[in-house]
Amino acid sequence: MAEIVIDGVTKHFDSVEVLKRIDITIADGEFMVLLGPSGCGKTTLLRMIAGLETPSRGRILIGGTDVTTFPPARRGVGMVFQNYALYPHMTVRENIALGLKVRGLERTEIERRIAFAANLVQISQYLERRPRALSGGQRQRVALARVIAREPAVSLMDEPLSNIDAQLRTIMRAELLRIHRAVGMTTIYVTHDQEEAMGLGDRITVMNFGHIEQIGSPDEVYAHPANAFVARFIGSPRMNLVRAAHRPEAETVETPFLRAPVPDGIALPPEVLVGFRSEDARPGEAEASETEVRGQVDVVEHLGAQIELHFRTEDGQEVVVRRPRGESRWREGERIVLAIPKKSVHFFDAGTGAALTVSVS
Amino acid sequence: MRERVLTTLHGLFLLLVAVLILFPFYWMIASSLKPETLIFRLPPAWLFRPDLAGYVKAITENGIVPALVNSVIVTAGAVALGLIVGAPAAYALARYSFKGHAQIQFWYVTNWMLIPVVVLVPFYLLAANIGLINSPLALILIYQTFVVPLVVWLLVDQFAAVPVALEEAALLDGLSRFRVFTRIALPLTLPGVVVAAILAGIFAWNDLLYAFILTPSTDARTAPVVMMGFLGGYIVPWQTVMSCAVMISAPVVVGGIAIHKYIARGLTLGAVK
Amino acid sequence: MNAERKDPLVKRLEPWFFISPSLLLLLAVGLYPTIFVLYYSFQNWTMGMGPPVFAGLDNYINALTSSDFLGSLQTSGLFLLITLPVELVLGMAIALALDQTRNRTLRRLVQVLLVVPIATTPSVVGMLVQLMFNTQLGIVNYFGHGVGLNQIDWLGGASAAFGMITATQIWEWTPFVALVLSASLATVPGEIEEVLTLDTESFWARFRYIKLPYMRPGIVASLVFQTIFTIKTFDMIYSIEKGGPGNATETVSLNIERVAFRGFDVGLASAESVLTLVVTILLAQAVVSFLYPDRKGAGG
Repeated sequence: MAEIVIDGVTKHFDSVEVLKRIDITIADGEFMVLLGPSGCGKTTLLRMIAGLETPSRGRILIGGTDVTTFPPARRGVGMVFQNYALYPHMTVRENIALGLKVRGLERTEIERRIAFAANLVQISQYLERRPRALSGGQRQRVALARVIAREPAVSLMDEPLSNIDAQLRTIMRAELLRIHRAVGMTTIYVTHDQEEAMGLGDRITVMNFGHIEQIGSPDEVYAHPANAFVARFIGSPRMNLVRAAHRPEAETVETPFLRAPVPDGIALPPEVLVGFRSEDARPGEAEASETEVRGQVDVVEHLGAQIELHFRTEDGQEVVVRRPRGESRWREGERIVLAIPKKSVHFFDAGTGAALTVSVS
Repeated sequence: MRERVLTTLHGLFLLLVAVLILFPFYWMIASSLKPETLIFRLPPAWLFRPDLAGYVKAITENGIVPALVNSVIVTAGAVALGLIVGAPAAYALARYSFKGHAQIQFWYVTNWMLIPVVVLVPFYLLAANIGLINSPLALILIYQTFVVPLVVWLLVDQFAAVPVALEEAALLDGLSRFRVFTRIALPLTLPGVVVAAILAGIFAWNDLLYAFILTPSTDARTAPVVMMGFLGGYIVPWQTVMSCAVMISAPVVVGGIAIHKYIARGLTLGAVK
Repeated sequence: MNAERKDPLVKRLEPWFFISPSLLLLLAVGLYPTIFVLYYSFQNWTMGMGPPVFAGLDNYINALTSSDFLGSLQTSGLFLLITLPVELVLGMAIALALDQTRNRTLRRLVQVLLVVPIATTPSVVGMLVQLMFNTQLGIVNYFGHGVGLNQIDWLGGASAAFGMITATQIWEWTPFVALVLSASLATVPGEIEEVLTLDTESFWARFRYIKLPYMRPGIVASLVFQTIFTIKTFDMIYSIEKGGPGNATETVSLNIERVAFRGFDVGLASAESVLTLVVTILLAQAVVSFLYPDRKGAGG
């Protein structure tokens, strides 16, 4: 069982608190992505699971065992570093073999594992080469093979695709998924790229400034963001958040440029953010139950399969709308109205950012 | 727990190393400030009132000052000459490939490897014939056997590191190769030249063998030779001797500390291809 | 273009303009005198006792049968054989300790201190050693007594004196070896060491598979430099006891110096020099092949 529990972990370097009270449970075999902007602490957290850093407070359990005081070698983890960290003075074969050799595995077993791993990541023909004779993508696969051959309980990956060029990245992503399905190791994957997170993760932990914003499946964080940060971080283009003032007790959020019916039973604060995704907004007259936003067209971009409409509300806030190719054309400067169906509207507290509704799907 | 023990052991070991290196210097400086009786007191007099009699004697009776001046002259002269002939050679080795390139490098290394005494015997006889004994020139010349190889060794990599594009642009502008060397390559390698100068200067300043054979007279002798005057006497004035020791070794220790970061790097980079 | 219109012959001679001053200087100061050594080695000549007289191979025979010369060769050899491994092992220990230690001030302090023994005037070190190793009143014996050892007659006893110069040489040069090895240790990329810690706690595994390969150039360089520096050692030994007591600390250099400048026997000294030169040249070949392994392709 390689379930991982991060229990009340905090970390500070000198006087700077880098991680503030982290609690996560990762199921055996799960692909969990730690997502967040640079400096949010995700890499530090990963390194703490590996044992390369120690928590200031809290525990880490792997497979039910408290490994907080264990050195990395005793935790049963494998890691792929951002820069691959291949031993430059050894061949690919020796690179994969070293970790197994120092653990005292038999020669035949080592050979078997090398063959299996190399075959899985498709580098069998490079086994006698040195890292400097390999491309970035090939080196990354060697780093992967090294982890696979170790057969650890947990595999950790620190932004492994960030040094690979964009086109290769999408291919490698699919490869990673394929390998994960084949091997089934519990995997923790760190990235700042939300698209990568959405594509790879069974669940995503969104982090910011050392604390967790939300943990959920890709669909959950996309459709039901727990706060404005998650709403803005996930999805491209990011969710539109329009600031509006609200009279308490009123049934709609009403401003000169916006009318948003308040869902039953929700008490809204005086200032709210009304959120909706680009693909959910529809230029045209709004029905009674829908949210209506008034403003004018700024710029229209034709992106091939889609049209991206840059829209500005009457009070200057920017909104991005995506419509399929072929819908009616708008002129720049034209005044239009956007309609958003009730189920696609989110309300956030403008002060704290917390989500006030869980919109019904 | 095991980590903590190891870290303390590492720290203690390094502390021991530091003490072992520093202790002789402490002893040297302390002894220079103690009268003879205190120097040999056992248990040692860790606390004492320092007195400068040794330094005074060294200056007034043993003529350490003229000797130090001679050391300065000889060291400066040797370093200057070595740089003047050695820097261009290093530049050529860095920038040109020509027949005999490897042999030339071999030649410099061989010169550096010569055991000093072997060169000294004939050099002494030749110098005596020309009347160069007791002239600083004799030392300045023979020091080239180790100054030039050192300068070349250290500067070849420095010149190779200057971007070729800069020099090519200058060449296209019509500068002669020599001008490129003096106007472009040399200014850019100035820090390396300073390090080479200080390192060569340290070895020149420290020399005893060549100095006490080639410039033995009281007028011409360099500082380390003064130390030799104290050897073999029945009563050795240790306080004065240690005062001289301090005055002689202070400049080179300071010089060494100034370039400590570059010594290992400079000396090994040439070897790591 | 000016650069290309140059006479091709001049172009080919260009590097030699830069090199010739140093070349000529070294030829005059180094090679030329050394040729004279060859000449004098076949002469019977003691300075101040009349002109040189041709003596054939007499000097060589004297040298090769002289217990003094052979003894000094043995002393030099032993000196090298003992100091080199000790300096290497201790130097490596210091370099590793520096690499592993987290205390930044301690590390920086030691790094600065490591350069000091090499920079210090060897003759000064010699005099200091005389003072510190004084049999009755020296501080070394005092400390030794403090830990229960007997008084050692450092300056009077033959093997004690040899031990003394060996210890001093090690004190002087180990820091240099440590510096060189430290520099090569610093080239190890931190990440790959971390990767190995995921597989093993053993320091020795990290040492063997990662640190040692990166240190190899430094180790070779250290051995080469140390061999040369140790053979050249003169000032320190001379300023302790001029090779004494008796011949106990007389290395080859000191022996030749004594024969030439205290015995004034130029002929014998020259023969001994030639023999030593042969050894030096063989060593030079070995050294250069270590430092410039791709001699054939060496280019600018």
